[in-house]
Amino acid sequence: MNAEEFDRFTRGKTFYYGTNGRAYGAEEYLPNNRVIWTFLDGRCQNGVWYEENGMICFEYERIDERQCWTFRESSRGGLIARFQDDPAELELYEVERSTEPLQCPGPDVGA
Amino acid sequence: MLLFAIATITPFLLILTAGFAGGLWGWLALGYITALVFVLDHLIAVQIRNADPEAEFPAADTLLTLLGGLHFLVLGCAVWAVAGSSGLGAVERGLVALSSALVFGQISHPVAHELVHRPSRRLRLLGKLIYTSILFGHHASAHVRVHHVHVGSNGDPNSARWGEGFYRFLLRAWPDGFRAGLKAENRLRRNLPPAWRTHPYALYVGGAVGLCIASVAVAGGAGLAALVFVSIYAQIQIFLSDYVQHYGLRRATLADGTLEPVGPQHSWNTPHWVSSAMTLNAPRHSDHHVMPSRAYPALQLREGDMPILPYSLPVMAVLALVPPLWRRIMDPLCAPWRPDWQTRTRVDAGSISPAVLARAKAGGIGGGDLPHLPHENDRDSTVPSDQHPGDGPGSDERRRI
Repeated sequence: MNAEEFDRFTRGKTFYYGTNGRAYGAEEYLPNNRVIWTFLDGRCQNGVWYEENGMICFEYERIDERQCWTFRESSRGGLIARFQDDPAELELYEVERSTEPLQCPGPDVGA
Repeated sequence: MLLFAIATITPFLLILTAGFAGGLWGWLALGYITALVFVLDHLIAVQIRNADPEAEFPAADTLLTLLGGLHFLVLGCAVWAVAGSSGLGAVERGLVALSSALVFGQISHPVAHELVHRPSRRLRLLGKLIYTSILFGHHASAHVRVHHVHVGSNGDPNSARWGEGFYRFLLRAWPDGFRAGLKAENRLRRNLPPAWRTHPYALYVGGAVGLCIASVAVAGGAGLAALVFVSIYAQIQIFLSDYVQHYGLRRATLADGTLEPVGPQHSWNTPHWVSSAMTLNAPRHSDHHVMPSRAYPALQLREGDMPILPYSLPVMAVLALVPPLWRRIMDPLCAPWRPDWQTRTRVDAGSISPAVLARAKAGGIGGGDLPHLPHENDRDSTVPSDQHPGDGPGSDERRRI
Protein backbone atom coordinates (compact mmCIF):
# COMPACT_ATOMS: atom_id res chain seq x y z
CA MET A 1 0.00 0.00 0.00
CA ASN A 2 1.19 3.51 -0.65
CA ALA A 3 0.45 6.41 1.69
CA GLU A 4 -2.97 7.21 0.24
CA GLU A 5 -4.13 3.59 0.26
CA PHE A 6 -2.83 3.05 3.76
CA ASP A 7 -4.56 6.18 5.01
CA ARG A 8 -7.86 5.23 3.37
CA PHE A 9 -7.65 1.72 4.81
CA THR A 10 -6.80 2.66 8.38
CA ARG A 11 -7.97 6.17 9.21
CA GLY A 12 -10.39 6.44 12.09
CA LYS A 13 -9.94 2.80 13.06
CA THR A 14 -8.05 0.83 15.64
CA PHE A 15 -6.24 -2.32 14.49
CA TYR A 16 -5.19 -5.13 16.83
CA TYR A 17 -2.20 -7.10 15.58
CA GLY A 18 -0.91 -10.57 16.22
CA THR A 19 2.13 -12.57 15.21
CA ASN A 20 2.66 -16.32 15.40
CA GLY A 21 -0.67 -16.80 17.12
CA ARG A 22 0.01 -14.28 19.90
CA ALA A 23 -1.31 -10.78 20.45
CA TYR A 24 1.37 -8.22 19.62
CA GLY A 25 -0.08 -4.75 19.94
CA ALA A 26 -2.67 -2.31 18.71
CA GLU A 27 -2.66 0.98 16.89
CA GLU A 28 -5.23 3.67 16.47
CA TYR A 29 -5.01 5.65 13.24
CA LEU A 30 -5.99 9.30 13.41
CA PRO A 31 -6.20 12.10 10.86
CA ASN A 32 -3.03 13.99 9.89
CA ASN A 33 -0.90 10.84 9.90
CA ARG A 34 -1.08 10.59 13.69
CA VAL A 35 -1.13 7.25 15.46
CA ILE A 36 -1.33 5.90 18.97
CA TRP A 37 0.51 2.64 19.61
CA THR A 38 0.31 0.21 22.51
CA PHE A 39 1.88 -3.16 23.27
CA LEU A 40 -1.42 -3.87 25.06
CA ASP A 41 0.17 -3.25 28.47
CA GLY A 42 -2.00 -0.25 29.22
CA ARG A 43 0.67 2.19 28.08
CA CYS A 44 0.27 4.14 24.85
CA GLN A 45 2.49 6.46 22.92
CA ASN A 46 1.90 9.02 20.22
CA GLY A 47 3.53 8.79 16.84
CA VAL A 48 3.31 9.80 13.22
CA TRP A 49 3.75 7.97 9.95
CA TYR A 50 5.00 8.91 6.49
CA GLU A 51 5.89 7.11 3.30
CA GLU A 52 9.55 6.54 2.50
CA ASN A 53 11.13 4.26 -0.08
CA GLY A 54 7.79 2.59 -0.70
CA MET A 55 7.34 1.74 2.97
CA ILE A 56 5.21 3.29 5.68
CA CYS A 57 7.54 4.54 8.40
CA PHE A 58 6.50 5.27 11.97
CA GLU A 59 8.18 7.46 14.54
CA TYR A 60 7.10 7.45 18.17
CA GLU A 61 7.70 9.82 21.07
CA ARG A 62 9.66 7.42 23.22
CA ILE A 63 11.24 5.08 20.67
CA ASP A 64 14.53 6.19 19.13
CA GLU A 65 14.35 3.75 16.22
CA ARG A 66 12.11 4.53 13.32
CA GLN A 67 10.00 1.55 12.20
CA CYS A 68 9.32 1.03 8.51
CA TRP A 69 6.79 -1.54 7.32
CA THR A 70 5.16 -2.64 4.11
CA PHE A 71 1.41 -3.09 4.36
CA ARG A 72 -0.80 -5.24 2.17
CA GLU A 73 -4.31 -6.53 2.23
CA SER A 74 -4.67 -10.29 2.60
CA SER A 75 -7.00 -12.29 0.37
CA ARG A 76 -9.59 -12.19 3.16
CA GLY A 77 -9.37 -8.43 3.53
CA GLY A 78 -7.16 -8.31 6.62
CA LEU A 79 -4.18 -6.02 6.99
CA ILE A 80 -0.70 -7.58 6.95
CA ALA A 81 2.44 -5.67 7.90
CA ARG A 82 5.98 -6.83 7.26
CA PHE A 83 8.90 -5.15 8.99
CA GLN A 84 11.36 -3.49 6.58
CA ASP A 85 9.76 -5.43 3.71
CA ASP A 86 12.16 -8.23 4.69
CA PRO A 87 10.86 -11.82 4.42
CA ALA A 88 13.12 -12.80 7.33
CA GLU A 89 11.63 -10.15 9.59
CA LEU A 90 8.58 -9.90 11.79
CA GLU A 91 5.17 -10.15 10.15
CA LEU A 92 2.07 -8.84 11.87
CA TYR A 93 -1.47 -9.60 10.85
CA GLU A 94 -4.73 -8.00 11.80
CA VAL A 95 -6.72 -9.94 14.36
CA GLU A 96 -9.38 -7.34 15.07
CA ARG A 97 -10.55 -4.04 13.71
CA SER A 98 -12.55 -1.54 15.69
CA THR A 99 -13.82 2.00 15.47
CA GLU A 100 -13.42 2.44 19.24
CA PRO A 101 -10.42 4.49 20.38
CA LEU A 102 -7.63 2.74 22.28
CA GLN A 103 -7.87 2.50 26.04
CA CYS A 104 -4.70 3.76 27.65
CA PRO A 105 -5.14 3.58 31.43
CA GLY A 106 -1.38 3.38 32.15
CA PRO A 107 0.71 0.44 33.34
CA ASP A 108 -0.48 0.32 36.94
CA VAL A 109 -4.21 0.48 36.48
CA GLY A 110 -5.94 -2.81 37.14
CA ALA A 111 -2.71 -4.51 38.19
CA MET B 1 35.27 -4.02 10.35
CA LEU B 2 38.93 -3.52 11.26
CA LEU B 3 39.84 -2.42 7.73
CA PHE B 4 36.98 0.13 7.76
CA ALA B 5 38.21 1.48 11.09
CA ILE B 6 41.88 1.75 10.10
CA ALA B 7 41.19 3.23 6.67
CA THR B 8 38.84 5.91 8.02
CA ILE B 9 40.38 6.86 11.37
CA THR B 10 44.00 7.17 10.18
CA PRO B 11 43.54 10.23 7.93
CA PHE B 12 41.58 12.08 10.64
CA LEU B 13 44.47 11.49 13.06
CA LEU B 14 47.03 12.58 10.46
CA ILE B 15 45.20 15.89 9.95
CA LEU B 16 44.92 16.50 13.70
CA THR B 17 48.66 15.93 14.03
CA ALA B 18 49.34 18.13 11.01
CA GLY B 19 47.21 20.89 12.52
CA PHE B 20 49.21 20.92 15.75
CA ALA B 21 52.70 19.89 14.60
CA GLY B 22 52.86 20.91 10.95
CA GLY B 23 56.01 19.70 9.23
CA LEU B 24 55.78 16.43 7.33
CA TRP B 25 52.38 15.50 8.80
CA GLY B 26 50.45 17.62 6.31
CA TRP B 27 52.18 15.86 3.45
CA LEU B 28 51.41 12.49 5.03
CA ALA B 29 47.71 13.39 5.37
CA LEU B 30 47.49 14.60 1.78
CA GLY B 31 49.57 11.67 0.54
CA TYR B 32 47.36 9.17 2.34
CA ILE B 33 44.08 10.22 0.79
CA THR B 34 45.51 10.74 -2.71
CA ALA B 35 48.60 8.71 -3.60
CA LEU B 36 48.50 5.92 -1.02
CA VAL B 37 44.87 5.04 -1.64
CA PHE B 38 45.44 5.14 -5.39
CA VAL B 39 48.52 2.93 -5.24
CA LEU B 40 46.99 0.33 -2.92
CA ASP B 41 43.73 0.28 -4.89
CA HIS B 42 45.32 -0.28 -8.24
CA LEU B 43 48.52 -2.18 -7.48
CA ILE B 44 47.16 -4.74 -5.07
CA ALA B 45 44.17 -6.51 -6.52
CA VAL B 46 41.94 -7.95 -3.85
CA GLN B 47 39.27 -10.50 -4.64
CA ILE B 48 35.72 -9.18 -4.21
CA ARG B 49 34.34 -10.48 -0.94
CA ASN B 50 30.76 -10.19 0.22
CA ALA B 51 29.78 -10.45 3.85
CA ASP B 52 26.64 -12.33 4.75
CA PRO B 53 23.96 -9.83 3.70
CA GLU B 54 21.78 -10.75 6.67
CA ALA B 55 24.53 -10.57 9.28
CA GLU B 56 24.38 -8.01 12.07
CA PHE B 57 27.30 -5.65 12.53
CA PRO B 58 26.96 -4.16 15.99
CA ALA B 59 30.31 -2.35 15.66
CA ALA B 60 29.21 -0.58 12.48
CA ASP B 61 27.17 2.09 14.27
CA THR B 62 29.84 2.52 16.95
CA LEU B 63 32.41 3.33 14.26
CA LEU B 64 29.99 5.79 12.64
CA THR B 65 29.47 7.61 15.94
CA LEU B 66 33.22 7.72 16.59
CA LEU B 67 33.92 9.06 13.09
CA GLY B 68 31.15 11.63 13.50
CA GLY B 69 32.86 12.90 16.65
CA LEU B 70 36.24 12.92 14.90
CA HIS B 71 34.76 14.93 12.03
CA PHE B 72 33.76 17.80 14.31
CA LEU B 73 37.09 17.68 16.14
CA VAL B 74 39.02 17.81 12.87
CA LEU B 75 36.78 20.52 11.40
CA GLY B 76 37.42 22.77 14.39
CA CYS B 77 41.11 21.97 14.33
CA ALA B 78 41.33 22.61 10.58
CA VAL B 79 39.70 26.05 10.72
CA TRP B 80 41.99 27.03 13.60
CA ALA B 81 45.13 25.51 12.01
CA VAL B 82 44.49 27.05 8.59
CA ALA B 83 43.34 30.51 9.67
CA GLY B 84 44.03 30.89 13.39
CA SER B 85 47.07 31.34 15.61
CA SER B 86 48.42 27.85 14.98
CA GLY B 87 51.90 29.10 14.12
CA LEU B 88 51.95 27.02 10.93
CA GLY B 89 53.66 28.23 7.76
CA ALA B 90 51.76 28.97 4.57
CA VAL B 91 52.48 25.59 2.99
CA GLU B 92 51.53 23.75 6.17
CA ARG B 93 48.25 25.64 6.36
CA GLY B 94 47.53 24.86 2.72
CA LEU B 95 48.19 21.17 3.32
CA VAL B 96 45.77 21.07 6.25
CA ALA B 97 43.12 22.88 4.18
CA LEU B 98 43.47 20.52 1.22
CA SER B 99 43.71 17.28 3.14
CA SER B 100 40.83 18.11 5.48
CA ALA B 101 38.61 19.10 2.54
CA LEU B 102 39.46 15.79 0.86
CA VAL B 103 38.75 13.84 4.05
CA PHE B 104 35.45 15.64 4.61
CA GLY B 105 34.38 14.94 1.04
CA GLN B 106 35.50 11.32 0.97
CA ILE B 107 35.09 10.09 4.55
CA SER B 108 32.80 12.45 6.49
CA HIS B 109 30.35 12.37 3.59
CA PRO B 110 30.02 8.56 3.56
CA VAL B 111 29.79 8.61 7.37
CA ALA B 112 26.99 11.18 7.31
CA HIS B 113 25.36 9.32 4.44
CA GLU B 114 25.28 6.06 6.41
CA LEU B 115 23.95 7.92 9.44
CA VAL B 116 21.01 9.54 7.64
CA HIS B 117 19.94 6.06 6.50
CA ARG B 118 20.00 4.53 10.00
CA PRO B 119 16.68 3.95 11.78
CA SER B 120 17.81 5.64 15.00
CA ARG B 121 16.69 9.25 15.34
CA ARG B 122 19.86 10.04 17.29
CA LEU B 123 22.14 8.69 14.56
CA ARG B 124 20.15 10.44 11.82
CA LEU B 125 20.53 13.72 13.71
CA LEU B 126 24.30 13.20 13.84
CA GLY B 127 24.30 12.68 10.05
CA LYS B 128 22.32 15.88 9.52
CA LEU B 129 24.75 17.77 11.78
CA ILE B 130 27.76 16.54 9.80
CA TYR B 131 26.23 17.72 6.52
CA THR B 132 25.24 20.99 8.18
CA SER B 133 28.82 21.48 9.35
CA ILE B 134 30.05 21.56 5.75
CA LEU B 135 27.24 24.01 4.92
CA PHE B 136 25.35 21.31 3.05
CA GLY B 137 22.68 20.18 5.52
CA HIS B 138 19.90 19.93 2.94
CA HIS B 139 21.67 16.95 1.38
CA ALA B 140 20.38 14.86 4.31
CA SER B 141 16.82 15.57 3.16
CA ALA B 142 17.39 15.64 -0.59
CA HIS B 143 19.33 12.38 -0.55
CA VAL B 144 16.75 10.33 1.32
CA ARG B 145 13.54 11.97 0.08
CA VAL B 146 14.47 12.89 -3.50
CA HIS B 147 17.56 11.01 -4.69
CA HIS B 148 16.48 7.58 -3.47
CA VAL B 149 12.92 8.00 -4.69
CA HIS B 150 13.62 9.44 -8.14
CA VAL B 151 17.11 8.08 -8.89
CA GLY B 152 17.72 7.38 -12.56
CA SER B 153 15.07 9.85 -13.69
CA ASN B 154 14.80 13.59 -14.26
CA GLY B 155 12.95 13.85 -10.94
CA ASP B 156 16.33 13.43 -9.20
CA PRO B 157 18.66 16.42 -9.66
CA ASN B 158 21.64 14.26 -8.63
CA SER B 159 21.28 11.61 -11.35
CA ALA B 160 23.50 12.94 -14.14
CA ARG B 161 22.03 12.67 -17.59
CA TRP B 162 23.72 10.99 -20.49
CA GLY B 163 26.14 13.51 -22.03
CA GLU B 164 25.91 15.99 -19.16
CA GLY B 165 29.31 17.40 -18.18
CA PHE B 166 30.25 17.60 -14.52
CA TYR B 167 30.35 21.41 -14.25
CA ARG B 168 26.93 21.82 -15.81
CA PHE B 169 25.66 19.06 -13.52
CA LEU B 170 27.12 20.79 -10.45
CA LEU B 171 25.53 24.16 -11.20
CA ARG B 172 22.17 22.55 -11.92
CA ALA B 173 22.07 19.94 -9.15
CA TRP B 174 23.10 22.23 -6.24
CA PRO B 175 20.11 24.62 -6.35
CA ASP B 176 17.71 21.95 -7.67
CA GLY B 177 18.64 19.57 -4.84
CA PHE B 178 18.14 22.30 -2.24
CA ARG B 179 14.68 23.12 -3.60
CA ALA B 180 13.58 19.52 -4.16
CA GLY B 181 14.61 18.56 -0.62
CA LEU B 182 12.73 21.53 0.80
CA LYS B 183 9.62 20.69 -1.18
CA ALA B 184 9.73 17.06 -0.02
CA GLU B 185 10.11 18.06 3.64
CA ASN B 186 7.27 20.59 3.32
CA ARG B 187 5.01 17.99 1.73
CA LEU B 188 5.81 15.49 4.46
CA ARG B 189 4.95 18.03 7.17
CA ARG B 190 1.76 19.29 5.59
CA ASN B 191 -0.26 16.59 7.29
CA LEU B 192 1.64 16.20 10.53
CA PRO B 193 0.43 17.60 13.85
CA PRO B 194 2.30 20.77 14.96
CA ALA B 195 4.45 18.97 17.54
CA TRP B 196 6.02 16.87 14.75
CA ARG B 197 6.45 19.70 12.32
CA THR B 198 9.94 20.91 13.33
CA HIS B 199 11.55 21.60 9.99
CA PRO B 200 15.03 20.18 9.35
CA TYR B 201 15.85 23.09 7.03
CA ALA B 202 15.82 25.32 10.11
CA LEU B 203 18.67 23.19 11.44
CA TYR B 204 20.51 23.16 8.10
CA VAL B 205 20.38 26.91 7.55
CA GLY B 206 20.55 27.98 11.19
CA GLY B 207 23.42 25.58 11.89
CA ALA B 208 25.37 26.81 8.87
CA VAL B 209 24.95 30.44 9.90
CA GLY B 210 25.94 29.60 13.48
CA LEU B 211 29.06 27.78 12.32
CA CYS B 212 30.07 30.69 10.09
CA ILE B 213 29.79 33.02 13.08
CA ALA B 214 31.79 30.58 15.22
CA SER B 215 34.60 30.39 12.66
CA VAL B 216 34.78 34.20 12.57
CA ALA B 217 35.03 34.12 16.35
CA VAL B 218 37.87 31.58 16.21
CA ALA B 219 39.94 33.10 13.41
CA GLY B 220 38.21 36.18 12.01
CA GLY B 221 37.50 36.61 8.30
CA ALA B 222 40.24 34.13 7.47
CA GLY B 223 38.47 31.56 9.65
CA LEU B 224 35.27 32.03 7.70
CA ALA B 225 37.23 31.75 4.44
CA ALA B 226 38.80 28.49 5.64
CA LEU B 227 35.41 27.04 6.58
CA VAL B 228 33.88 28.06 3.26
CA PHE B 229 36.84 26.68 1.33
CA VAL B 230 36.82 23.22 2.93
CA SER B 231 33.01 23.11 2.73
CA ILE B 232 32.79 23.97 -0.96
CA TYR B 233 35.61 21.60 -1.79
CA ALA B 234 33.87 18.83 0.18
CA GLN B 235 30.54 19.59 -1.49
CA ILE B 236 32.13 19.35 -4.93
CA GLN B 237 33.33 15.88 -4.01
CA ILE B 238 29.83 14.88 -2.91
CA PHE B 239 28.52 15.95 -6.31
CA LEU B 240 31.41 14.14 -7.97
CA SER B 241 30.50 10.90 -6.27
CA ASP B 242 26.81 11.25 -7.18
CA TYR B 243 27.80 12.18 -10.74
CA VAL B 244 30.14 9.21 -11.10
CA GLN B 245 27.80 6.72 -9.44
CA HIS B 246 24.75 7.40 -11.61
CA TYR B 247 26.05 8.97 -14.82
CA GLY B 248 23.99 8.01 -17.86
CA LEU B 249 21.94 5.30 -16.11
CA ARG B 250 18.19 5.68 -16.46
CA ARG B 251 15.16 3.74 -15.30
CA ALA B 252 12.76 2.62 -18.01
CA THR B 253 9.23 3.98 -18.16
CA LEU B 254 6.69 1.19 -17.93
CA ALA B 255 3.54 0.92 -20.01
CA ASP B 256 1.42 2.50 -17.26
CA GLY B 257 3.71 5.55 -17.20
CA THR B 258 5.46 4.71 -13.94
CA LEU B 259 9.19 4.12 -13.61
CA GLU B 260 10.54 0.61 -13.30
CA PRO B 261 11.62 -0.21 -9.72
CA VAL B 262 15.18 0.74 -8.76
CA GLY B 263 17.43 -2.17 -9.64
CA PRO B 264 21.11 -3.09 -9.59
CA GLN B 265 21.48 -1.73 -13.13
CA HIS B 266 20.89 1.87 -12.00
CA SER B 267 24.17 2.64 -10.19
CA TRP B 268 27.87 2.37 -10.97
CA ASN B 269 30.11 0.35 -8.66
CA THR B 270 33.80 -0.18 -8.10
CA PRO B 271 35.46 -3.14 -6.40
CA HIS B 272 38.64 -1.37 -5.19
CA TRP B 273 39.40 -2.41 -1.64
CA VAL B 274 41.09 0.59 0.01
CA SER B 275 38.86 3.34 -1.38
CA SER B 276 35.88 1.10 -0.56
CA ALA B 277 37.05 0.71 3.03
CA MET B 278 37.79 4.42 3.35
CA THR B 279 34.36 5.39 2.02
CA LEU B 280 32.46 2.72 4.00
CA ASN B 281 31.59 0.69 0.91
CA ALA B 282 30.02 3.67 -0.87
CA PRO B 283 31.24 2.24 -4.21
CA ARG B 284 28.92 -0.75 -3.65
CA HIS B 285 26.25 1.60 -4.79
CA SER B 286 23.79 -0.66 -6.60
CA ASP B 287 23.10 -2.70 -3.51
CA HIS B 288 22.73 0.45 -1.43
CA HIS B 289 19.99 1.71 -3.74
CA VAL B 290 18.21 -1.63 -3.84
CA MET B 291 18.43 -2.04 -0.03
CA PRO B 292 18.90 1.45 1.48
CA SER B 293 18.54 0.12 5.01
CA ARG B 294 21.41 -2.37 4.68
CA ALA B 295 24.40 -1.38 6.85
CA TYR B 296 27.64 -0.67 4.97
CA PRO B 297 29.62 -3.80 5.97
CA ALA B 298 26.86 -6.01 4.50
CA LEU B 299 26.62 -4.32 1.08
CA GLN B 300 26.99 -6.77 -1.78
CA LEU B 301 28.90 -6.47 -5.04
CA ARG B 302 28.33 -8.65 -8.10
CA GLU B 303 29.59 -8.52 -11.62
CA GLY B 304 27.08 -9.16 -14.35
CA ASP B 305 23.96 -7.33 -13.27
CA MET B 306 25.78 -4.37 -11.66
CA PRO B 307 27.52 -1.76 -13.82
CA ILE B 308 31.22 -1.63 -12.86
CA LEU B 309 33.43 1.43 -13.40
CA PRO B 310 36.83 0.92 -15.00
CA TYR B 311 38.83 2.62 -12.19
CA SER B 312 38.39 3.35 -8.49
CA LEU B 313 35.89 5.97 -7.33
CA PRO B 314 38.52 8.69 -6.60
CA VAL B 315 40.15 8.16 -10.01
CA MET B 316 36.78 8.33 -11.77
CA ALA B 317 36.03 11.56 -9.88
CA VAL B 318 39.26 13.10 -11.19
CA LEU B 319 38.39 11.98 -14.73
CA ALA B 320 34.95 13.61 -14.39
CA LEU B 321 36.72 16.95 -13.98
CA VAL B 322 37.71 16.69 -17.67
CA PRO B 323 34.33 16.29 -19.39
CA PRO B 324 35.57 15.33 -22.91
CA LEU B 325 37.78 12.63 -21.44
CA TRP B 326 34.95 11.45 -19.19
CA ARG B 327 32.54 11.11 -22.09
CA ARG B 328 35.07 9.26 -24.20
CA ILE B 329 35.51 6.68 -21.47
CA MET B 330 32.00 6.47 -20.08
CA ASP B 331 29.57 6.91 -22.94
CA PRO B 332 30.44 3.58 -24.58
CA LEU B 333 30.19 1.89 -21.16
CA CYS B 334 26.75 3.39 -20.53
CA ALA B 335 25.30 2.27 -23.84
CA PRO B 336 24.54 -1.37 -22.95
CA TRP B 337 22.71 -0.29 -19.79
CA ARG B 338 20.36 2.10 -21.53
CA PRO B 339 16.74 1.03 -21.04
CA ASP B 340 15.99 1.86 -24.65
CA TRP B 341 18.84 -0.31 -25.87
CA GLN B 342 16.54 -3.19 -26.64
CA THR B 343 13.85 -0.99 -28.11
CA ARG B 344 16.04 0.99 -30.45
CA THR B 345 15.40 -0.57 -33.78
CA ARG B 346 16.24 1.89 -36.45
CA VAL B 347 19.55 0.91 -37.98
CA ASP B 348 21.09 3.55 -40.15
CA ALA B 349 24.04 2.96 -42.38
CA GLY B 350 26.25 4.94 -40.03
CA SER B 351 25.94 2.38 -37.30
CA ILE B 352 27.29 -0.43 -39.42
CA SER B 353 30.95 -0.50 -40.21
CA PRO B 354 31.85 0.15 -43.88
CA ALA B 355 33.59 -3.19 -44.12
CA VAL B 356 30.48 -5.09 -43.10
CA LEU B 357 28.34 -3.01 -45.45
CA ALA B 358 30.65 -3.73 -48.34
CA ARG B 359 30.55 -7.44 -47.67
CA ALA B 360 26.79 -7.37 -47.27
CA LYS B 361 26.47 -5.71 -50.68
CA ALA B 362 28.72 -8.37 -52.13
CA GLY B 363 26.29 -10.92 -50.75
CA GLY B 364 28.89 -12.74 -48.71
CA ILE B 365 27.97 -12.27 -45.13
CA GLY B 366 27.61 -14.76 -42.34
CA GLY B 367 25.46 -14.36 -39.26
CA GLY B 368 28.48 -14.25 -37.04
CA ASP B 369 29.81 -11.14 -38.74
CA LEU B 370 26.78 -9.02 -38.10
CA PRO B 371 26.81 -6.78 -35.12
CA HIS B 372 24.02 -7.86 -32.82
CA LEU B 373 21.17 -5.48 -33.31
CA PRO B 374 17.73 -5.83 -31.84
CA HIS B 375 14.91 -6.99 -34.05
CA GLU B 376 11.71 -5.19 -34.83
CA ASN B 377 10.02 -8.00 -32.85
CA ASP B 378 11.89 -6.96 -29.73
CA ARG B 379 10.19 -3.65 -29.87
CA ASP B 380 8.20 -2.99 -26.81
CA SER B 381 7.47 0.24 -25.04
CA THR B 382 8.75 -1.20 -21.81
CA VAL B 383 11.72 -3.07 -20.53
CA PRO B 384 10.65 -5.47 -17.80
CA SER B 385 12.46 -4.73 -14.58
CA ASP B 386 13.99 -8.17 -14.44
CA GLN B 387 15.43 -7.86 -17.90
CA HIS B 388 18.44 -5.73 -18.66
CA PRO B 389 21.43 -5.89 -20.92
CA GLY B 390 23.45 -7.74 -18.31
CA ASP B 391 21.71 -11.03 -18.78
CA GLY B 392 19.87 -13.02 -21.34
CA PRO B 393 21.07 -14.20 -24.70
CA GLY B 394 23.08 -11.80 -26.78
CA SER B 395 24.28 -9.74 -23.85
CA ASP B 396 27.91 -10.56 -24.49
CA GLU B 397 27.78 -9.26 -28.01
CA ARG B 398 26.10 -6.08 -26.91
CA ARG B 399 28.51 -5.60 -24.05
CA ARG B 400 31.47 -5.57 -26.41
CA ILE B 401 30.18 -2.66 -28.48
